Amino acid sequence: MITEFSGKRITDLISVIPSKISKFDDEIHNYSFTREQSIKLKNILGFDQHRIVSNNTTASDLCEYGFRYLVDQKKFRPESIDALIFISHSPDHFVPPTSSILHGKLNLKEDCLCFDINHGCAGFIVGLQQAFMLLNNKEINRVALMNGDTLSRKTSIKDRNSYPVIGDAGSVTIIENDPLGKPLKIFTKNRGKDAMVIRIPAGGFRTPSNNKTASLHSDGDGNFRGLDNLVMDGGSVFSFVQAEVPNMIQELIELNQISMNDIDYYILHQPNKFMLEKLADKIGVPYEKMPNNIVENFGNSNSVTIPLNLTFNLSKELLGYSPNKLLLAGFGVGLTWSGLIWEMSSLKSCEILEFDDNNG
Amino acid sequence: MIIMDELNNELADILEIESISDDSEFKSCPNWDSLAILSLLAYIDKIYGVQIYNNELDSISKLKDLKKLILEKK
Repeated sequence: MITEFSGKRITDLISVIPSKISKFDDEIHNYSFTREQSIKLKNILGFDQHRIVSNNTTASDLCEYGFRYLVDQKKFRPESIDALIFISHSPDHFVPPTSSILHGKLNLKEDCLCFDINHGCAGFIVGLQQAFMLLNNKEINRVALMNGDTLSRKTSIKDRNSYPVIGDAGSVTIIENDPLGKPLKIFTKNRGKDAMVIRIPAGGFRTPSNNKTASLHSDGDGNFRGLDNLVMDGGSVFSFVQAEVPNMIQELIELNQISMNDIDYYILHQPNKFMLEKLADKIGVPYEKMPNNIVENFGNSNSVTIPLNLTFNLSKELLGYSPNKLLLAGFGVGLTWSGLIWEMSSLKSCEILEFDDNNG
Repeated sequence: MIIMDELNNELADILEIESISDDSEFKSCPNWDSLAILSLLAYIDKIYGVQIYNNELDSISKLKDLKKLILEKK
């Protein structure tokens, strides 16, 4: 599906990472593979270090920190927020919505829409799309989009498939109506029949958590995890991405009547370096136009990888005066794949903050 | 008769063994892990333009079955 928008602008973009750094080399002893096998994995997939929360820090803690920073910097008044969207697989509770908790902590006005969306890898694009739709209503002029995940807390440290990839992070994106905002089209597709390819089997109402779901078992491939843990069918995810993402990018290029070279940067979700290099090779984009360094520095933080990619790799460009033509794309959990091409106006904030949760 | 010799060589490289025959049950090799799967699927995608999914791989035991699947999907 293609949805079209115009007259929108991101004004501020903040990523928040927890202060604790965990290194792959220090985790090797948790895995049942030989050191040589794990080093080979590290080199090919491009692992080095990732950010992990401590002391039960939640995704909403990271988002709250980012939002308060923007308010302290006087970027906007909190009472000007007309809607708050929280996108995450890591809610504080099942009930109430985490957006309501954030609404209370941040002292937002009562004339403010609040809702949570359970979404992952494509969650930043899903969030932008929701924000743009809300902004088409004349009552709504400024939206706070918060993306966050702390899935390290749902990943077995003895699972070499998932643990080295996962990173925890949050982001806050402020989106407004702006008559000068350039038109854009958002591509979105869903394939629910493959929804269970990336999953946490237990802990919801279908399979509640108990002692059995918590205990770790071998998956037959040398990894140990319980039903409470995140599990990804890596091969299927890889094949899905290589099949569908190039098609999506091609369709976006054609819809915008431009060529691949007209895109300044391809800012993609970050599953791992290996997958991104294969994608760049396949569609013929040089690696420097498609940054792939988020997993090695921070880990894959689900819907926060696009904000982290923008704040880590492009803050100078995005804070500058000349507009940048960007292709943004998220793909994974759902399975959902979504993307857009947008000539973005300059941002007022674009930075990474560190949240200190190591003490205590 | 399916040839595709390059796939035998690539898979042998991935699994770090001398050679591999069409009848070999490659998944019982000690080096068959998630990384080997990813490397193999990346090669198949690049050379044959075909995407293989985990459940399809699950139902295969010999290399010749994999070759057959690739040709079917081409």
